[in-house]
Amino acid sequence: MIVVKWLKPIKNYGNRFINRRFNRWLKRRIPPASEHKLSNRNIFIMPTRFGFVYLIFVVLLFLLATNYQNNVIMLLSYLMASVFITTMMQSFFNLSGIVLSADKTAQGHAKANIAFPIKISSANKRFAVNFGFDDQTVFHLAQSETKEQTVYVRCSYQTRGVYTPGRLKVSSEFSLGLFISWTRIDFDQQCTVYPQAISLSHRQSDLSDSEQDNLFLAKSKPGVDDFFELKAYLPGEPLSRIAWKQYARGQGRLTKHYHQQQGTRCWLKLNDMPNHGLEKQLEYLCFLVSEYHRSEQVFGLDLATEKIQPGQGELHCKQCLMALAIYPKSH
Amino acid sequence: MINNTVTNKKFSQLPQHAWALLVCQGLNVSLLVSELTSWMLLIISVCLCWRGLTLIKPAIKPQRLMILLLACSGSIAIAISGQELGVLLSMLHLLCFAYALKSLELTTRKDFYQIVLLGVFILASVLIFSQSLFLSFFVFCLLVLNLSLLSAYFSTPLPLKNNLYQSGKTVLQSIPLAVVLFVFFPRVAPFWQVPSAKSAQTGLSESVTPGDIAHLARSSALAFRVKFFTDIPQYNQLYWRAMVMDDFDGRTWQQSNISSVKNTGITNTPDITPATLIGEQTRYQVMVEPSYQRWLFSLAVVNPESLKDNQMTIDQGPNYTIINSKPVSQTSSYQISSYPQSLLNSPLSDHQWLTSLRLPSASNPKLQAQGRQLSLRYPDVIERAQAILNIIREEDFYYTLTPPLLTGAKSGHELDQFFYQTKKGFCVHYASVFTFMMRASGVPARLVTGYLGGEYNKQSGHLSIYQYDAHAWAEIWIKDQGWISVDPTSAVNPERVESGLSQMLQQEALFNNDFLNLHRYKHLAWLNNLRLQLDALDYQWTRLVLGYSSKKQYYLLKQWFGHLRAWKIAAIIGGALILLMSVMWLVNLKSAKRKPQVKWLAQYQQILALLKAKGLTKPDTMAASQFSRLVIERFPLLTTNFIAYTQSFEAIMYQALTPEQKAQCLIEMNYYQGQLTKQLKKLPKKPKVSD
Repeated sequence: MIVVKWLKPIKNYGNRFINRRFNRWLKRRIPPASEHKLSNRNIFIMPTRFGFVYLIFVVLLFLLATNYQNNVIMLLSYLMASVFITTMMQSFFNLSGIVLSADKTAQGHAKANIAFPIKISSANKRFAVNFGFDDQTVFHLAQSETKEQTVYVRCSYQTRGVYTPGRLKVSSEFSLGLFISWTRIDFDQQCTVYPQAISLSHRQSDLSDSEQDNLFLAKSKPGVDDFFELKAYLPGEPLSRIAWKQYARGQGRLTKHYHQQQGTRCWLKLNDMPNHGLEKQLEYLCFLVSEYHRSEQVFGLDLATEKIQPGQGELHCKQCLMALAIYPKSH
Repeated sequence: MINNTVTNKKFSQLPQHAWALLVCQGLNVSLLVSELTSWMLLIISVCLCWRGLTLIKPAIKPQRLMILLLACSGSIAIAISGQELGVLLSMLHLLCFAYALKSLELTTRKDFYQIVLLGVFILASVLIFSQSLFLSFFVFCLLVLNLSLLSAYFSTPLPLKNNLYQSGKTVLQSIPLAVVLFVFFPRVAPFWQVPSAKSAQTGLSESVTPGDIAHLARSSALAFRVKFFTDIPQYNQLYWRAMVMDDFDGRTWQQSNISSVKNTGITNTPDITPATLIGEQTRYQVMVEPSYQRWLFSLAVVNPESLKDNQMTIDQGPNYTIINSKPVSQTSSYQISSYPQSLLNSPLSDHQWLTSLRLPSASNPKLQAQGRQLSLRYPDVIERAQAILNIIREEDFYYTLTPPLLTGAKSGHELDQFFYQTKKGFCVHYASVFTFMMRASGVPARLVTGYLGGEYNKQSGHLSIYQYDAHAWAEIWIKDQGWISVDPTSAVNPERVESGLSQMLQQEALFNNDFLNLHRYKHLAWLNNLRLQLDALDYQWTRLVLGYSSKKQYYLLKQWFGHLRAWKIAAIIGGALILLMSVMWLVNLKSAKRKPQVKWLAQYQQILALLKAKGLTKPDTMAASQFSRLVIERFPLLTTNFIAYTQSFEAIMYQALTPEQKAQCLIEMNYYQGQLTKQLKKLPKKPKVSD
């Protein structure tokens, strides 16, 4: 036990050293790109543990055949050995030729699943392909379609910030499980992790009963606004605002617009948040930003060090959430 | 698309795959039914049934303790009966037991892998007991099934049929390399002694009583095959000697102690001194089926030198027989040469002389008396033998496979009873009586058992000798000439000696045999042809695959590639490997290029091809609607049809349509397609000047 304890740091160091060297080599071999076509340049192939057991089994059969001088068993053992080779090729072909592309960025909240959409296209059907980032959940594609399709590879992070998920590992043990063919491709992706959104209203009792807080709680409640007018649909407007009744009557796509609470431009301020530590405050803010965005109100974000002028819409919301994600951590 | 995460540990299978695995297990074990004891079969079927029940109702899954208990009790049972079963069969029992038990404990992927590999191992062990073409083919099919289960795990969404196809393809693709390995990979001698298959001896037995061989005549099992390299001798010359019986106790013929292989070193028996070989040589290869006996078959007189050049270690036996160093437990072959015109005339020892004359004094007094009488009437030995044959020929003796039971057996008068009362017998009866009478008349005589004749297969030019060709005849000692063989059967049933069992006798012989036996239907020409074709196939399998040895490999390689070098073999195998891989690569490349095309696009391209023939080519970058304007300009006749056609094509190609709309579009497109094709074909062949 003592020896093992003593060896552990050496082993760790060794692993890290090898990994570093390997990654450096990988960077030269498979440079980052937004699209990768899998080929013999970037597919690696290795027998699995079962593959090695299978080989031992073939040797065992050969011994059996030799000792009994039995030609049919010998033929069987040679056949199994050849199947090993054939399977290697099939395993390679299963990945070879797939074209993968992905967006550079993805966003999501901490402790939630963030999906990276990966577009894959292939002329043939592929089987049992696993997609996954290091230390993340693996997505298993049992059978691909023969046209372009999107798979969602999940990531999840515990804390907010900007992460690089690293290389995507695509692997498959298809055919007989004797070989694993895999590749690690780099889309140079970035993942912006917003703070977890924690609802303030559920924690009302925790809140300080200052009037200001209650005031913006009232403001933040969705649905308080009055219906104002219908306008022609513009591409990019949220589907939730489409007036479906009118649409059903055949009057075309119209969107509902609500009367804004004019004059009171709402500021979401970091300092207004109940004092449960910086991270908690950011999480409350995150919730509020999302809520305000959903109810389509105009709001600004005030993080003391940084101010985002009041605005509205998808872009504004993203900007605010981004600011929350990269807000310097307290020490 | 199934979205689930894969962990290496957990194992789950679709119900149909689980059932397929169970069926596959059953099939694998079923090949060993004849080797396994009935109690083991019972245990295995209980395990498999239980597995089936858990698939229907997962609640009745056996507990670990239960499985442990079952495993222990099974192992103990195998251990107890190990003495009786022998090493090989005990191992086999253990293997099958583990295989069946494992199906109850299928929780991780490792278990699944184990079960598949165990299954393949069982298939391999089946081949220890028989290597016939048909069994091998069946084993091959089962291998595909076993592998398809593995494949099914990695391509779950496909139906089982496709997985079967997939793994079949894999195995078929692997065959060329396997064959190359089989032919070229160096063969090595056995590393250690292995327990050999012990089974009930088949074929001729080491002792014979009258009526013994008749039961063999009911069997249409193959005994051995022969391929002659020189001219094939006449049917009535094909006396395949197996054993010589010179010891008679009044009832049973057997080998005398001096010549019995069991008791003595053979090399010192006097009559083993090789006969002087004269006349023409007959060279042939014999492929024996497992008989679990040491006796091999040969025509007299074998050249002892030719025995040495074989993979099997064959020794000369007593009385011009040949024997293997161990019981023949798998199909094996040897190549020897014989000199049919040579005499079996090495001098007899005193002991041999006495044995070959000895008669139990009290047995068959009537025959003894007649023998003595004949010796007085015919002083010449050959005339005397002829006289006995004449008696058999002239009196109303019958040759039958179902001779009446001889009740005089107890008193040792059964030959008397046969010769003077029942007069119905098979070859052993006649050979026994003849030998007995010759001995009584003072001539050394003995009984020889073996096979007579063989069925010639035109397709491959070999002889197949079946168990029903088993035969017994006599040999008498004539001064200066040595042992001369006399077949008393020829006196009663000449047809048997000239061409084999008559139709009637065969029908009689095979009457009790199973219905499906093709030998039953020899009178149906096409069925008989089929049988002969299958036999020829099996023969080639035996010759090429089962008969392939390190010696053959050596000669073959030498013939093809000159001096044998390790690097040459490595180059051949490496070359085959690279060839296989590059062929697969090319095939894959081709299939990857072949893009799946949608129907309407293909249709549109047909029209484009027609237009091209008329001298109008669509540039790749041009949109379909733009192109339609070009077409109208050139062929105003097409205007209405082509515009409508283009519209429906564009709609189906680029617009998001509901399935009904799509179907409607397709119908329209098909309609205009037909119209346009007609019109285009009618247009003048000669293309107008293109711009």
